[in-house]
Amino acid sequence: MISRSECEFEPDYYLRRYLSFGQSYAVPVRPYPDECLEDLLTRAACENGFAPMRSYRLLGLDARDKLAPGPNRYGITAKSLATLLGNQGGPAEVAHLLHDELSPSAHRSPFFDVWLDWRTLTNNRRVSPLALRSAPYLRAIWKVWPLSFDPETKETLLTRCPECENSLSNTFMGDIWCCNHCSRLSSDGILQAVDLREHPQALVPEEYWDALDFATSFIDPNKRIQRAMSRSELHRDFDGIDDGDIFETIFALARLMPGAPAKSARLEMSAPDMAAAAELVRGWPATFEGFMSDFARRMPRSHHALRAVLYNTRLSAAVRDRMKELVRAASVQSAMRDVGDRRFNQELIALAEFRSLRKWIKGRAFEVNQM
Amino acid sequence: MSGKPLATYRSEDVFEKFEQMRIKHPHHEAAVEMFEKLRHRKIRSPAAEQTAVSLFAGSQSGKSTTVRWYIDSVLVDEWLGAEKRKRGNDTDLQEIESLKAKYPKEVLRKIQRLALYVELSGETTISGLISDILEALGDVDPHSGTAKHRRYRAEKLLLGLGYQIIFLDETQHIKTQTFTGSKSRTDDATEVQNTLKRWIKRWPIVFVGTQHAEKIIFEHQVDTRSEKPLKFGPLHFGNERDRTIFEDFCGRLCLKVAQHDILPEAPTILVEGDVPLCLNVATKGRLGLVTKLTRIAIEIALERGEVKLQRHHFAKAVDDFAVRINLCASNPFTDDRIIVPSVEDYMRDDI
Repeated sequence: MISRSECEFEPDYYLRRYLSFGQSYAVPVRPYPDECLEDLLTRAACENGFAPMRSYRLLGLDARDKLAPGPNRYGITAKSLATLLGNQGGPAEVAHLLHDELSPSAHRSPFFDVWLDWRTLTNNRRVSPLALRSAPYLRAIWKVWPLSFDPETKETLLTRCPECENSLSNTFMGDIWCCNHCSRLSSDGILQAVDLREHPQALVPEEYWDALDFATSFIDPNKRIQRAMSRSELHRDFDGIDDGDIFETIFALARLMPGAPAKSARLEMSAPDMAAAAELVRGWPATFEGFMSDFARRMPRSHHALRAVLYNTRLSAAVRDRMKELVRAASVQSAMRDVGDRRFNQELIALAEFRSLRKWIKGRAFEVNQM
Repeated sequence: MSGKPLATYRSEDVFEKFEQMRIKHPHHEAAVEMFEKLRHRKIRSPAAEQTAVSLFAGSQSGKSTTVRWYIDSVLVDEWLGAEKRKRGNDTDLQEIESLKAKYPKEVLRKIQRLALYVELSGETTISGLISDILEALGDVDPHSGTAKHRRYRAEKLLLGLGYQIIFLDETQHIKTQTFTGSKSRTDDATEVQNTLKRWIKRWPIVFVGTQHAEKIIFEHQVDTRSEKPLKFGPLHFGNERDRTIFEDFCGRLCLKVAQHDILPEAPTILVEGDVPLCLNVATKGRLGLVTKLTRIAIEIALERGEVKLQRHHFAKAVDDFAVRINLCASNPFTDDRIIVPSVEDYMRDDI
């Protein structure tokens, strides 16, 4: 464990490399713009021939498996991080990776400049072989659970080693593009490992790309310009709702898609489901109303399945309130249609309390009235 | 000649100035030429099997100085240029010069990544060898991990940092291939040989050490991958060429003393009469020791408040140093007759 005091930080790069010789990683590592702290520390250790946990130990931390992106749990300082990495830019280059700001609510984790539910982010290592071929680092966006593809290459992410079938994790792996289960050092120190880059995966069908780009633009640190454009496509209902919440809404809606695992929040969504959910938000509210009537037809007796979304406190209350309104209006309207009469005062419906209206309908109050 | 008052020449400054002094000589130049040849082979055909060369001579022959000089003046420039190019800037000789002036030599020597200079410590087993190398590479924890893991790390760093040549100094410490002793002991020595053999295939290695090392390292397998050893020492006055080199060296040293402003005037005594011969006998023909003796003589002179180097200063220096450590049997500066030991005697490197 290396203890470094704050005051002895040397601003000159060459002198710093000299003074911290044997304390900084020999191979200096600088962050890529869309790399999170956890992946950066993993990569730094790997490029220097260590297991990922070595980075934490050198920072004086005992961080077991806490490798999901998140707040600066351990109070790492930019200077100690820069000393460890030996990067030329120094603390200024890595400061943005340390999220010292307070979370707006207990379950929120920072993900670059947006806040996501901490359960949306995973510890697991998932990789896109094609993306790794183009640049050898782990993209932070691969740690966002619902995305089962790489937003840039649209390649399906590899979660398990194609050879040994074990899911990839963060023990000693040699290089970040190797399977950590298959990695072995021969007796004379030669790495024998499965190179995941040699196992390219299927691409997501192109018809979904546009919707998926829309969904990822809200959180992808590479797509800050597209994000502004995506926001301009949104309905007024989403004004004042932050980007992370919009992504969480898409994620929640994806879980309502037929066949999607509705219960577990921590699962990968299929790309078509994510795309469909993104379209619901993009075409709001008309698309959502359409989806709801569909949903009601699919499960006529259990409209309560919508609870998964309506009472999901991980979602922004404003969005949920608006959804409830839409659901209620739709359910009343469909009940009205059943009555078979269009003479009702629309304003009355809008004003009336939803529950009593529905009760009346169910109790055939209107029919009695007509008689 | 500087106009500075004579009282400012102090013996305290001498050591530091001598440290900075680098004196070229033909052996040194031949060595540098060979280093460059090996390194350029690595640059041109990085995947080809590389070769090794050895540089064995008695201690204080200027071996390590030559290596350091090579790194300081050839490789640091090239490394600074490469660093600039990496950042997309054109190399500008002036800029490199100013960068070199900005930092102390040892800073750039340590952080440059073209040559790895490893000083082997103690009795070197395979694990010790790799730890020494990891330490020289700047590994954050050179002693942790199993032997194979450390070897993996060493190779990874050597590759990742783009080293072009490796210098192993003090190679006489490498463990001998013994067929006595425990099994693990002999195995260990074999493993050192095997590791070195594998590395020679990938990086040119310069083995530096006392003559002892020659018998130790060069097991057949390593030998076949080696260039002709570099001659570096001892310079015997019986040999005409050695004699010229030695006298030239004394001449350059004489000029350098004035250039570095160690003494106000060049101590021409260094090249007068039998002084070069006496120095040769007193130092057993090792150039590094000549500078050391001269330094001691100058210090003696300055301590006595004299700024002109004289024969009796050398006589005292030889008494204090060479005779004391048994480098020469008697003091050639004071003896009636100078007895030049045999070449074999010069070759002995027990001291």
